[in-house]
Amino acid sequence: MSADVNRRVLPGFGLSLGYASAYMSVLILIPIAAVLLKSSTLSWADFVDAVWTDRARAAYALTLGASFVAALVNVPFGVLIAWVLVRYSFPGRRILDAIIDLPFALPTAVAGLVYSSLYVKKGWLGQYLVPLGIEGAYSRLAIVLVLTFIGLPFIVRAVQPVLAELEAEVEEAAACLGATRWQTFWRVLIPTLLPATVTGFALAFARGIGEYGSVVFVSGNMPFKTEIAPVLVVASLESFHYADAAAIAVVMLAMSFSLLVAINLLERWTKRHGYT
Amino acid sequence: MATPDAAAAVRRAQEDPAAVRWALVATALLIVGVLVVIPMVNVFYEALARGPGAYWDALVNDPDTLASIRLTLIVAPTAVLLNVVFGLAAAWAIARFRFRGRALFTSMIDLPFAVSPVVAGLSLMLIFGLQGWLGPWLREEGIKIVFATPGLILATAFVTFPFVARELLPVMESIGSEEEIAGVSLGARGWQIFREITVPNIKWGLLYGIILCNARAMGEFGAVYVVSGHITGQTDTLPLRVEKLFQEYNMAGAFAAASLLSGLALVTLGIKTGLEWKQRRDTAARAREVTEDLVVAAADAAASAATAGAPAAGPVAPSANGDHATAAAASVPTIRLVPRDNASDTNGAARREEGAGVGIAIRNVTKRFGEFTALDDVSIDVPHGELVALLGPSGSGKTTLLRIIAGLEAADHGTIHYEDVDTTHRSPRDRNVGFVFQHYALFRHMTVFDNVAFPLRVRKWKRDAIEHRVAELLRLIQLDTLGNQVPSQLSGGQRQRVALARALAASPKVLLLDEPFGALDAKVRAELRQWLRRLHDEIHVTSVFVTHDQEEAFEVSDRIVVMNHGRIEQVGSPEEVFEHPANGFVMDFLGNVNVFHGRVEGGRAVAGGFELAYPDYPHREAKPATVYVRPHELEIDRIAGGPGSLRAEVLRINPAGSSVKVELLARDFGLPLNVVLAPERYVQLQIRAGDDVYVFPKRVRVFVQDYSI
Repeated sequence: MSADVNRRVLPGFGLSLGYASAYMSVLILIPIAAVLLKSSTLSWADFVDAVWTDRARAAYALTLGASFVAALVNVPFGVLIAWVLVRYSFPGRRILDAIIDLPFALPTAVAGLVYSSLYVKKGWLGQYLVPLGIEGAYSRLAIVLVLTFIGLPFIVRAVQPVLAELEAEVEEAAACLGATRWQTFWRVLIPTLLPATVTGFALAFARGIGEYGSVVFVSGNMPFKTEIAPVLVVASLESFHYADAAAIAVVMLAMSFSLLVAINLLERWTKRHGYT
Repeated sequence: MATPDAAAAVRRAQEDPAAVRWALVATALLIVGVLVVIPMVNVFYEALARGPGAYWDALVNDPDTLASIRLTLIVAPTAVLLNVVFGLAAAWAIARFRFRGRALFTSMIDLPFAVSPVVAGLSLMLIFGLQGWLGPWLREEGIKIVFATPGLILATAFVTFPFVARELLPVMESIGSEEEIAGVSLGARGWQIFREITVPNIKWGLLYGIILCNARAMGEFGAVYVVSGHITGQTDTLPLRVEKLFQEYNMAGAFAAASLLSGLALVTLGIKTGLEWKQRRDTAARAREVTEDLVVAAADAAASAATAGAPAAGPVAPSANGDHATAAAASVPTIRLVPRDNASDTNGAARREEGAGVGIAIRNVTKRFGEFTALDDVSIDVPHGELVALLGPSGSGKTTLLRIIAGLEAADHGTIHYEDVDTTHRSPRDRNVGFVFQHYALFRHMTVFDNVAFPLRVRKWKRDAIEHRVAELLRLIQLDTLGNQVPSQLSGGQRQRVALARALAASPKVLLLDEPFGALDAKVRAELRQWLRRLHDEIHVTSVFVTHDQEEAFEVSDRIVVMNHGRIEQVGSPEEVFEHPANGFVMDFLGNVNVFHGRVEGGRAVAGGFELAYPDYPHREAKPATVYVRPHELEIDRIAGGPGSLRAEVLRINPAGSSVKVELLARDFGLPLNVVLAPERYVQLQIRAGDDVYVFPKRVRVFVQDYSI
C-alpha cells in the first residue's frame, strides 16, 4: 500500500532509481559481465586448461584451505571476544571494542607489511617462534595468520549484537529450571548464537578468498606452495593472457558467489526462525 | 548497532566466578594483543626506529612517496564522493518506494563484497584496457583510463561501492517516510524535502558511511594494483608505494608510508567510535525519556481510572467523571480567536468569508488494493466549516478515504472537490491541506518553532510574517514558551498540538486528522478532545477526522459518517446516528446493545421471548428480523408485565460509577442480558445476585432482514 502512496507523494523515484541503476551498471555489472564474456571466448577445452592446471588447483586449494582455517580459528576467538565485550565490565573494555574494527580500517598492504616483518627470524615474534620451528612468514602459516587478522572483526561484530539483545531472563529461566551454568551455555546460548556465528564465519571466509594485498606480502608467492588464486589472476594478466585471467576469475567468482548466496539464505532462514 | 546494556551486563557478570571472568578477559586481550595491537605498535616502531629525521626523509624527501600521498588524496575522496551520490540515490529509491526487482536490486549492492579486488581490477582492464572493449577507441581519442588516475578512481569506487548505501539503507528505513510525507502535505517540493528533512535526519549515518568508505578507499590495494600499471610517481597510490618500497627492500620507506596509512586508520576508528558513543548516548537519552513518559502516562491512567471509574458505556450515559471533567476544563485555558484569514492578509491575499457551502465534496470514490475493496463508491458532502468524523472499525476504509481526500492516495474512480475546485489530480502539496498524522510526524531535528514555520518557509513567506504567524499559533496551542524545544522534549499531548499548529500554519482550506488522539493516554485524550472542539468553534476550518472510538466521534464532531467494509452505513448528526441508527451495524457499533434474533409477522415482532407490536410490518408472511435494545432501554421489575416481559435471573451487579450495570440470564431462552439502571431505581428495586426478576424493553429497534440479499 505504501508503494503507491510514496510514488504518488514523494518526489524523485525515477531520478534516484535511474541514477543508481545506471551507476551500478557502469561501475559493477558491465565489468563483471565483461569477465564472464571474456572467459567465454575460450573453448571448453581451453577453459579447462586455463583453470585446471596443477598449479591452479594448488592455488585454489590453498586459497580455500587457508581462508577456511583462518575463519574457523576466528570462531572461538570471535565468540570469546564478543562474550567478554558484552558480558563483563573491565578496564579498557571500550578501547578493546574500538580496536576490534582495526582490521576493517587498516589498509591490507600495511597488514601484510607488518605481518611479514613480525614473524621473520629477527622479528618481534619470529625470534621466539622460528627456533621452535614455527615459520610465521613466507609460509602457508603466514597466509593463515594474516587472514585471521583480516577476518577477526567479522565474527565479533556478527555475534556481539545477538548476545547483547539476548534477554537475561532466558538464562535466568534456564537456571531456575535447574540447568547449571555450563548446561545453560551449551543448551541455550550456543544454539542462539549459532546462526550469527555461521554468518560471521561465512563473511570472514568469503573475505579471505578474495584477499590479495596482505597475502602477497607475507606468502612469498611460490607456485604450488604459497601462491593463492588472486596471484594467479595477476600473473596471467601481467603476461597478457587476459582470457586465462578471466577464466580463473570466473572460478573465483563462482566460489564467492555461492558463499554470498549461502549467507543470504542463512540470514533469511535466521529471520524466519526469529533469531533476530 | 550493539547497545550493550551496561547494568544488565554487570549483573549477569556476577554469575560467573571471578577466576573464569578474568581468565576469559585475559584470553581475549591476549588474542587481540597478538593479532592487532603488536602489529600496530610494530608499524610505528619500525617507522620511527631510525629517528624522526630519517622518518621525515623517508616521507617528505622521497618525491615518489610524496606523489603517492597526493594521488591517494585525489583518488580516495573522488571515489567516496561517487559512492555517496550513489548511496543517497539508492537508499532513497529502495527505502522510500516499492518497485519490481527491489529485492534483487538491494542484494546487488553487495556484489563487490563477493568479488575479489583483483577480479574487480581485471574486469575494468577488460573494458578500458588496451586489449579491452573500449581500449582501442579510447586510445584514438587520447583518453587514458587504466594506468592513469581515472582507472584508479574507478577501481577504488568499485571496491568501496557498497559502503555508503549499506549504512544509509537501515537508517532511512528505520526513520520512515512519515516526516517526508508530512513535508509534502505542508507544501514542500522535491529538493526542499530532501535537503531539509531527509539529510538532517540521516546525517550521522551518512557521516559513518563516508568514514568507512574512505578508510577502505585509502587502503585499497588489489584492484588498484591491477589497473595502475605501476608507473612510479604517477600511478602508485600510497598502499602501492608501500609494496614497491617493500619489494626494493627499502623497509624504512615502506614503514614510514605504512605508518601514515595506519595513522589514518586510527583516526577513522576514533571518529567511528566517537559517533557510536554519541549514538548510544542519544539512544539511552531517548530511552530514558520514553520511560519517563510511560511513568507519567501510567500515573495519569491510574489517576483517571480512580476519578472516572469505569468508562461510560455510551455517550448519552450520564458522565461519571464529574470532577475529572471539571479538572480537564480548568486545565484548558481560553483560546484566542484566530480567524483563518489572518495569515492570508499578511501574505497580501485577501479572501472573503464563504457562505455555508460544501467544503469537501467526495463523489463516487472507489479504491481497491489488489482483491481488497477498501472503498466502494463512496460519496459524501462535508459542509463548509464543519467538523466531521469518519467512524468505523479497522478495515472499514475510513483512513483510506482520509488519505484520498488529502491526496496521499489516489482513488481508482471518483472525484474530490475542495469547495468548487476539483483537486482529484492535484498533488497533496498543491491542495492547501492541513494533515495531522497519527504519530504526529514532527520533524525531529527541528525545534517547535521551526516545525510550525516549515510550511511558511517553503511558501517563501517573509521572515517577520513567519515570526508573527508562528508566535500566534504557538499562543493558540498554549506552547508559546516552548518554541525552542525539539519534539523529543515534549509530551505526547504537546506534540499533538504542535502537529496541529503546523497543519494550520498555512491557513489550509481543509484540515484532516488521522486518529488524532489514538496514541495518547486516556486523560490527555479527554482534554485534547474538548480542546479540539473549542478550537474548531473558533476557527471554523472544514475538518475531517478519522476515529474508531465512537465516544470521541460523538464528543467532538458536528456530523458523523459511519463506515463499514468500504461503504457508508449512515451519515448524520450525533443525535440522529445514535437515536435513529439506520441499520443493525450502526446500532451495534455505537455502544453496548442487546441483540435478539427472531422474526416479524402480522404486525408483531417475536424475538428471544419478547413479543412486541411492530406495525411497520403488517404482512402475514414471517420474515427473519433482529431486535436491538440498548442496556439503558431495558427495565427490570419484580412482577411480570405481560407478553412483552421476560423472566431472568440476576447474575452479577456492578454498582460502580454513575449507573448500575446488571447482568442477567433469561434461562428459558439461554439469553444473556445487559441492563443499565439509574442508581435510584436500583435502590428502589433492591435486587441481588440470584434473584428472579422480569425484564421488559422500554424501547426497541427492529431491523428486518432484506429479501434482496
